[in-house]
Amino acid sequence: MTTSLPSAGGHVLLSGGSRGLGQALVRALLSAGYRVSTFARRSTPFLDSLATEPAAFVGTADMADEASLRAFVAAAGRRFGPPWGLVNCAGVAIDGVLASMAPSDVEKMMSTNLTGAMLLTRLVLRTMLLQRQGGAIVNISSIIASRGYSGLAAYAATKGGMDAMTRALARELGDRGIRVNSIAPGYLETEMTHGLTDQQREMIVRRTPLGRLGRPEDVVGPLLFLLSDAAGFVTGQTLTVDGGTTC
Amino acid sequence: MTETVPQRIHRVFRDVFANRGRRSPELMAESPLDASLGLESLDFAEVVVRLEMEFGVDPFANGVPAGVRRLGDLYRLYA
Repeated sequence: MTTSLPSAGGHVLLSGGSRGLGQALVRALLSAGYRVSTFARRSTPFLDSLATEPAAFVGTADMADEASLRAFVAAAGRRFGPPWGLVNCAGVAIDGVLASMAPSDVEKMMSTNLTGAMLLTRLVLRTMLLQRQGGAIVNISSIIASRGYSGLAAYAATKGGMDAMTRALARELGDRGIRVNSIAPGYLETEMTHGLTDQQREMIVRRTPLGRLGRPEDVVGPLLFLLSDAAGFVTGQTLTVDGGTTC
Repeated sequence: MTETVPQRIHRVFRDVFANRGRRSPELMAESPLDASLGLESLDFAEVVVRLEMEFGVDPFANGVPAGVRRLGDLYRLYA
């Protein structure tokens, strides 16, 4: 697969790179030759390990705190120049039926997964517009956005909102050469799904033609594709990466 | 000679027109800040970001301030 680097310097800003899927994506982007800036609310051993990586910039910011996002985007820009790419990966999943879910948990998912992603996108867009070199935005959504799963109503709403943002922004930004797409992974073997029971896990595998849960690495190829010039005519789309679970 | 605030604002607008490959119309305090000026919504967004870089403040941080309809209204915002 062709995954040529963007011509504009290859700085990609990724939210939520401290663990799980985000961690795997940061590693992959660095291996592919991108310069990567990422942040989380607090440091982790993985983020600490990036301190000696010259192509990585790590900061602390909270998706629910716009001022901290603003400061991080500015700092990342000072380090590597304005981002050419943005990956909205930070997310939290709290499961439970809505009727008994704490309102604070609903708000936490909304502010991190959706509002935060939108505000971060707004900040990065402001720098992209000035650069006039196009860009690529990839929103990490979920198959939960398009299929009903009991106990994930609030999470589903955030991801559905993200996909809607993808389509609207694709139209808004198309003539500036900024592409916007979503990736919708299925259930991945990450900390986010550690709470699944064996029974739930077996059911997902049974319903998945490729016969296993996804791994973070399964999302790497689709991400590199959507960022690359190979996807130069692809925008406003949601690419499902679920081993066929939803086919 | 030091540029005045209106001159700096006009320069930012002319830059955005130039970047879009369009000729800037004559800019006056009475020029309306709408599509009739020849800029689209995203162009105005770019103007706001460039003005923030030019002046170091963003009066549009919480939306369009009340009463901002014409170019001249921007002069007082950045004064």
